[in-house]
This record gives sequence, C-alpha cells and structure tokens, in this order.
Amino acid sequence: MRSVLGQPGGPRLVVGCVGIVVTGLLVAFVTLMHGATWSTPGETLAGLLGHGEQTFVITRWRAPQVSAALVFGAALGLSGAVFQNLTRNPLGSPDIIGLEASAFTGALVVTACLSGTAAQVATGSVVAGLAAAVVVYALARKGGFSGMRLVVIGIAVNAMVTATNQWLVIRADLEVAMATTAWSAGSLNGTDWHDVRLPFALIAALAVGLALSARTMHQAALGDDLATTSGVRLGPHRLALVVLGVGCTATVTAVAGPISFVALAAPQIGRRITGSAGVPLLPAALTGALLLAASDLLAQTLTRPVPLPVGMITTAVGGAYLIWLLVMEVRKR
Amino acid sequence: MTGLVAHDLTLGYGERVVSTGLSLAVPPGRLTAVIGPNACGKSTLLRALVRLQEPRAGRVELDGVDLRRLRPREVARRIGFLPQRMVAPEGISVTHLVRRGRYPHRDWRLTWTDVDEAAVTRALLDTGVEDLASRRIEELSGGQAQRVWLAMVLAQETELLLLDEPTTFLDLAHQYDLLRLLARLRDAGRTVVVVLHDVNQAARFADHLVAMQAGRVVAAGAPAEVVTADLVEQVFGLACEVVPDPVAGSPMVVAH
Repeated sequence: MRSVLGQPGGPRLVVGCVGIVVTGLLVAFVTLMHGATWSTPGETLAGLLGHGEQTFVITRWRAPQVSAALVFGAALGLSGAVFQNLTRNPLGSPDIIGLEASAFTGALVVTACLSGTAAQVATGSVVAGLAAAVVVYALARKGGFSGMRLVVIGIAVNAMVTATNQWLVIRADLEVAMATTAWSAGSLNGTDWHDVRLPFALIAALAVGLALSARTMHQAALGDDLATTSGVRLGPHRLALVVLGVGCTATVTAVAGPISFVALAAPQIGRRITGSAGVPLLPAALTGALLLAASDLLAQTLTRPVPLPVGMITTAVGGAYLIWLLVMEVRKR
Repeated sequence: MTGLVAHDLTLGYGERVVSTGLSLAVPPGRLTAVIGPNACGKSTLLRALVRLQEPRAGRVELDGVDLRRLRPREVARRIGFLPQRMVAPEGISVTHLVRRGRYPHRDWRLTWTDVDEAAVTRALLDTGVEDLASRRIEELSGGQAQRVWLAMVLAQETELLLLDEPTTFLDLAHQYDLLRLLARLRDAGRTVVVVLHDVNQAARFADHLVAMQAGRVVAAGAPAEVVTADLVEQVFGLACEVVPDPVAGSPMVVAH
C-alpha cells in the first residue's frame, strides 16, 4: 500500500471520505428541498440547474445557507483538528478552550462600538480569538502546549468569556441586542450570498495554508523532541497553526456566531470513520461539513415553521458527546 | 575539525546550571557510550548535541560549523536522535510511523520517492520489525515499540545517530539485541553516540567511553583505559573490582 501523500492512506481513507462527502451532499440536497413547503427532488434539481419556477427560492434563499453550513462546518472541523493536534488532546478544541467564545466577543464589541462592516467584524473576531489563545497559553505555560492543564484553563477562560458575551448582549442597545440574540446562539438562518462571499474566500485561503502545513503538523505530533530533531521549527510552526486555526473558527464566528461542538467532535469522528492515524485534516473538514449541514437541517425542520439557531442543535448533540469524551479521558488516567 | 564537537558548553535549566566548560569530540565512525550516575548531565549533553538544549555559553559544531547556523532540516539530515519520550499518534501503523523518519528529506510536494521507500524498508529490516510492518504501535510490546522508534530514526538515514538511554525499558535479551544493532550500524559506517546505564554493556560494545560526573567529563577514551576500579569508585561511588569479561574480554565491573 503506497499513498501519494506518504501519510496513512489506502482504501479505508478513500472510502471513508467518499462516504462522508456523499452523505453530506445528500443532507445538503434535502435541506435545499425544505422551505415553507417541501419541494420535490425533481423541482429542487431543476431549480439548482436554473430551470423551473423555484430557481429563485432555491438558488438565492436556500442555497446560501446550505453552502454556509457545509463550508463553515468544514472550517470548524479544520480548526478543531488543528488545536487537537497542537494540544495533543481530543478536548483541546477551540470551542472548549474559549477561543470561539472570545472570537465572538471581538465580533460583538466591533458591532456594538463601530457600526461594523463584515470585514471589521471578521477582523475583530480574529484579533480577539488570537488574544484569547495568547492568554490561555500564557496561563498554561508551565504545562506547555500539550496536557490537561491547558484544557482546564481553557475551559475556565471559556466560561468567563461566555459570561462576558451574555453581559455584552444584555447591555447593548435594544436594536443591537435584538440582532445579536440569535447570532449569539450560533445561527445560519437568513444567510444570503452577500454574507458569505468574504468568509468563503478567507476559509479557502486558510485551508490552503493548512494543507501546506499538514505534514509538519503530523511530524510535530511525535513529541517535541523528535519533531525538533527531525527538522521541524516548532515555534514558527505553532504560531502559523494557531493563526490559521483561530482564523478558521473566528471567520465562522464573525458571521454565524459561536457554533460549538462541531470543532470538538468532527476531527475525532472523521479519524474513526477513515481509520486514520493521529488527527488528520481532510476527514475533520469533511465530517465538520456533514455535521453542521445535518444540524442545520434539524434546526430548520424540528420546530417548523420557525427555525431554531443551529448552535442549539450542535450544543445539545455535542454536549452528550463531550460528557462521553470526558468520561473516556478520565478513565485513561 | 570534522564530525560533532562540543566546545566549552555551559548547560542548564532555569536557575540550575548542570555543566560548565564541557567539551567533547565525537570520534567519527565509532560507537561512543556516555556513562555516569543519575543526574550527572549525560542526557543534557546529548540534548545539546542535537539542538534540543540551547547552550548558555559555548557552541556545538558539525564539521566546524555552529549548529545554530545550520537550518534545522539540514541538521536533521545529518544527525538522528532517539529521545527518551516520544508520542505515537493514536492508531498509527509501524510502517507509517517509520515513514515519518523521512520528514527532513522531503520537500513541500507530496511525492514519496523510491529513495524514501528504500530507506524505510532498510530501516524495518535492520531493526528486525519488518514482520510487524502493518501492526499498530499500541499493539506492540515495549521492546518491539522501541525497535520501531529506532527504525524511524534510522529511516532518517543520518551519518550520526544519538540515543538517550535506549535500553532502559527493555528486558535483558532485547538490550543486547539493541546494542548489537548499534555495533552493526557502526560497522556500516555510522557514528553512534549512546547514553547507557550499564557500565559493563558500555565497556563491551563501545569503542570510545565518556565518563561523566556532576556535569563534567571525568575520563574519555578506550574502555580498557577508562574503566578502572578507581574511576568507578570516583564516578559511581562504588567499591569494586575490574576483571576481564569472560566472553568479550572487555573490562567488567564487579562490586565488592
């Protein structure tokens, strides 16, 4: 068995990835059918191809939200894989260690203080996310990047930042508060093409950067000593990964608000489905896309006709996963 | 000077200074063993030789060039290191772990060359783990896993190979397997430096012994010159007799 990537490869990886992609596209297609009334698959397909009376509804109203679920889910999955590799811990994902909540703080502050164009909000979100990463690392410094210490400190930072976010939403002007309530639950509802152009471009760029860093990331997973003596510059490499990883989670958060647990769960589910070694990026991204698309479908259909914020679904499902993961981690020790 | 040379190193962690004025020349093409009591600075010296420990003063040179002036990847193509602690990614197979040893030889492209494949195959054969190739690391015994990690470092195909207490977690037979493997690598032209706990094993397998105590090199040279009753008494604080090893004829320490 010889893969071009020189990474664990082979049939199981390919079959696993194809399986995830097909399921994700099916879920996306069903979501496209959903509206005030369900469209038939035929109508939906025709609409997608630009024929039929539903073209406008499907390509202008439903498609942006479905695309956002897929692309944002992939970005969250990537971000989770990056931080789980950095911390060498399945709990070390940006939504658990407070980076996502902090990115949202940045977005909220920029929205409340400056009127907040999309680019400004995204910048504020990235800056706040990076600042949180610095704080968490500084507090956990003694334990280094890996280990439980960083995760526990991250959980504490996450709790404090989440409380701050709630306070910001409550204290904001009524108008801002109304707009931010759904946002702060993590929602894709009402997304249009205009909203996603910039984030999609950013996520594409970040994904390219991550693809180029992947081999070094897996080398660094062998421990600091072996990574260094096999030629990895750990300092610059980690800095690059933190920036790319925070970039992914913050870009999503700036538009959709904090959507928790996709980053936590997607990399681990992805690596199990594909039988991969370590925490690889591609299965994490694909699984993230599937998870968020499926969650968004549930969010739209569970309480028809009023859609839920997708963050509520991911939190409910992900919370159960987190409990299971914590039990497993505690058992290991 | 050719090869790996340490000049006047000061080494330490935080406030604690482990070594001052530490100098050492690694004889090329030989098997060097570093011995000494616990916490004498053996591992710290080894870590300085492979860029894992930044010297406070002094420098480590490879063929006359300060290691700090070489690109990490360049150093990694010439010096391989087996540390005491490694992390195996969950679920990784033996082959895929050994392939990671090719990291410093590969560029940003994704191609895996025949040279890479040949190096991996050779490393698996040299360490006798070729039958385990498709197994997962977590299914292996400690001795098997240690050989796999060594195979990974061998796949790096470096002229210099440094190992930090590689025999510690191995049972007796596997300890000798590993030492014989190191001797074969030396015979194949590699320069090997190994930190060992067991003086008798070191004296039997090494061409060159470095005895350390309290951060200093106390003696260096051929085992027959270095291993004397006086030196063992001085370095390890053990009253002993040194007699010829009945099998190899190398000096053997027998405690009083």
